Amino acid sequence: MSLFSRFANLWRSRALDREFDDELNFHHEMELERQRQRGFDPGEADARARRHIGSVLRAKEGMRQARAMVWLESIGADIRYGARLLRRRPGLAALAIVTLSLGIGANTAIFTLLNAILLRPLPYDDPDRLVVLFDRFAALGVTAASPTIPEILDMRDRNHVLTGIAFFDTRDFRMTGGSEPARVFTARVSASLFTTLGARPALGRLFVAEDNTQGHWNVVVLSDGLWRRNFGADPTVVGRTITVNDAPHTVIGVLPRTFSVDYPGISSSEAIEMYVPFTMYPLYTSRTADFVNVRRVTTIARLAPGVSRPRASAELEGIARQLTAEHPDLYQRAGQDIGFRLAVETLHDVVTRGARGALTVLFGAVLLVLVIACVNTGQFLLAQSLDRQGEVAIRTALGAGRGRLFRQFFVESCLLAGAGGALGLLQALWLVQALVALLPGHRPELDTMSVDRTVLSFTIGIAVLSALVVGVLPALYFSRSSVGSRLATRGGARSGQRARHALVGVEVAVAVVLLVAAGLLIQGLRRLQNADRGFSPDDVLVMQVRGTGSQQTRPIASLVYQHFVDHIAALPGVEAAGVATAVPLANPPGVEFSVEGRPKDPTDTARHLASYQIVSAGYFGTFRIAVREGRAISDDDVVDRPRVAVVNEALARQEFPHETAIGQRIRVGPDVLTIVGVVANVQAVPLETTRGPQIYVSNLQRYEPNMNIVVRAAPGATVTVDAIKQAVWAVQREQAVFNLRPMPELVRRSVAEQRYIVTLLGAFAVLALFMSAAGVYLIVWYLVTTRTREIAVRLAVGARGRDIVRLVSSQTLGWTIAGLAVGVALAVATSGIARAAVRGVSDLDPLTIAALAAFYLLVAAAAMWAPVARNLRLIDPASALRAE
Amino acid sequence: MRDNRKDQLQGTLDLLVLRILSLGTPMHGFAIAERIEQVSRDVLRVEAGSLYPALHRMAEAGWVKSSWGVSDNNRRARYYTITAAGRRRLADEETHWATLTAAVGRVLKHS
Repeated sequence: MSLFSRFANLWRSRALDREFDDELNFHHEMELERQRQRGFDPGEADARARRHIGSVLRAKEGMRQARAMVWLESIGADIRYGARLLRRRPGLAALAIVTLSLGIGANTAIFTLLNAILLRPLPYDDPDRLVVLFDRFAALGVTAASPTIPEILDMRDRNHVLTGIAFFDTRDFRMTGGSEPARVFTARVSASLFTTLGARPALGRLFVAEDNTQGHWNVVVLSDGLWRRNFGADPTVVGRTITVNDAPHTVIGVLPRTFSVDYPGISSSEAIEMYVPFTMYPLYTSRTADFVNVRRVTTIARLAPGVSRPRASAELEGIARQLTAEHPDLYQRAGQDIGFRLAVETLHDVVTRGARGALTVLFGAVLLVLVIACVNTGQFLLAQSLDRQGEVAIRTALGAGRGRLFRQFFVESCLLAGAGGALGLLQALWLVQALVALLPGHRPELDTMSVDRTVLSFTIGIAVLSALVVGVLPALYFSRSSVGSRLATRGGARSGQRARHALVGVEVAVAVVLLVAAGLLIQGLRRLQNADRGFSPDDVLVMQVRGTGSQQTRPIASLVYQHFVDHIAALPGVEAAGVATAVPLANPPGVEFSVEGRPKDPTDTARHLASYQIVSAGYFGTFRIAVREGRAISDDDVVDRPRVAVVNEALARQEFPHETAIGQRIRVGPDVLTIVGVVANVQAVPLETTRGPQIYVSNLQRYEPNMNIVVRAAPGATVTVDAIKQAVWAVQREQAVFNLRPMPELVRRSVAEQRYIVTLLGAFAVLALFMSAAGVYLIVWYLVTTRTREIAVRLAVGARGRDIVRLVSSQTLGWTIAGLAVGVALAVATSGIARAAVRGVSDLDPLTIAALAAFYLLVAAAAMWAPVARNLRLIDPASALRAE
Repeated sequence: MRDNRKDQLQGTLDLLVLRILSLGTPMHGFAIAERIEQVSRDVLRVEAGSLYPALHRMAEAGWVKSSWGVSDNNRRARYYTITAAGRRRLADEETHWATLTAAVGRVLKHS
């Protein structure tokens, strides 16, 4: 009977009992049958047969024992024996357990994240059938643009493959009526969003199609978070009127805690707190108005039952062809088809795409750490069992089979892995909390994360796997060499050393791979952090405001911002202040531009794209953006003056390489702008190392309600948040001032995710480094202790400590260097994976690799030297020789 | 001492069961018991209380294999077959038994 079925017997003892019963019942019936045939009357036959009842009970007990209990008892003996052995060397046993627990704990923690983000289904009805729809424009190199509202409506009306199609976008809304005006991050949604995803309200109702029509906009649905925070979880909140963007709105419902659409990939990385209906103004729904090419909604759809993604894709492709034919003005450029297609991707893919690479790399890293932990523990077990190889040899001679020996090792490794697993799980519980707390950005899937059954199964699985790997090492060694040789060469066992050393080589290689990967990532991160960003973030505070309906609109509504800035600039300690639609690193929207008066070059198919910011005069001074040529935006660039633009050096160099940019005119949408100045390149997109063209226009010539106020404090001065708010409220009492952040924090945040991954990987690499060094230490320590007699002889005839070190560790050193070489080769071969996972990582740098390898060799050398040095002091040649 | 005797009895039962099964046909427990009784002319009676534990012990040791089948009278029954290891064991036991009975015989005859 196999090991597995014996284990199985333990668990399925009830089923086994039933089998025993069946077998004995059959026997009993046959007995009755026979008695009847021999002529007893049934009654007496039954009575006779029943006399056997005692016998039957005994039979059952005997069978049960034969099947499981005996085996269990001997296992019990093995466990007691194993525990006794481990107790004999408590220090080393503890080391082995802690090593394993670190490996298992790190694996469990990373797997918990991986499970929550990548593996768990999204909390919607039948989430596998949810897809995200994208526009593609092959000729423009655009692979995933948001469809426009008219496109979504056409898809909805023409397809036969989707049962629901929904869209939403997000906006900053102002909620007034509380202690101060509050900003609420809000989703504007189609009513179908809730039905498509399968959301049900916790209170009240959700939107119906009518809410999306004009005149029904004044209803809101609250998220669970907002309901708890701002409404005290009031169960009677439905029907209440609240003031949003200066207008009364009725609360019609509250969503449950589990519902959210703010997943990365489909929304910005901020929690959505309120939902309002997306009002279908003709402006949005027709292809004639200004919004015809505005792409800012996320489109989610549900595949009809039985429809595969390729089939849906094929049908939507047909719809895209129809649209291209019907609207050549939109989907063709200069008579050329721009390759408009509609693409279908699963919601799960879109949501998890960004995290997949990093999580895979981290998971790979912790698996490598676990490999080292297992090899180390195996080494420990082997070293310990070699201490008792006389005993093992005798047991083998007495008839203990290979299986029985393996079982003993396996039981010991199970004890270690069991203890390590339990300890690792505790570590993981703590580590997961730390990982989540430190994770930058918002991920709703982590709010509901826990160490659930999948994670527990995983932990148990890797603990058992570790036990197998750990137990197999000594078992293999002992099953190979013969009994006689081991009895004959007590104390000098040399066989199996090659295998053990090869394992050290494996450990070293694995550790070096991690070390090099981490080193490269750290280098890449430093390069990102030290890059010239073109602006100075220190002492700058950034906050957001949103234009209100009540402000004066003549000559232009943005005058109110000028008043804010004037009041703030007058505060003590303020050096400069300004407003802007986007601050550096905020990834501002891109616009297409053209140079006026330049004949169209038909061979030029590249798009002239620039990031576009509306700023006030104070913006450049606040961020200390250098003016290279001409002037910055000034307070005199107002509505009735010529429209001006300031561009960056990248744009000037790209468009006017041989002439000055000043005085040139560019067209952005309907506006024709005269370039009055050239400023330094400013990093607009996080992680980007190249600097693209940028256009700044005057705040007093173009109005935009969503604005950032930027304030620079004088060196050494502090400007309080409250003072700034009071200055704003002195101009306009109902203005919400929100998202107040120091600019240095935004700079840090722009590389936070990279830093997070790199920190984790670095921690795992350090762990691997120490564990593999411990492995090297263990093997040299073992070599020294087993060769005590030989070393004593050598010392007695005049060998010096140095010679002994050379003698004992030459082989180990050889294998360490071999492992190092293999590790570096592997690291070079796999560096592409790390680079793909962490954007902004630099290329392989031979110097870094050499430095890391040298460092590793140093650590390994120390690990080799330490046990020899320690033991040399302890060896007294005379007594060591006498002891044998 | 008691254990020793029990061991010997068990050994004897194993020997008988293995001998019966060595004919090659798969048999259920009742048939094995019946066969032993028949061949021994009702001198040796095998009780369920010893037979089934013995069968399961031998299955555990790998001397016999068992599988569920259907009996002549259409009932579900567990059938046992001897394995190669069982045949080796049988040979050992038979030798042992022969040596033992011969030894006992000699003692009875010559003392």
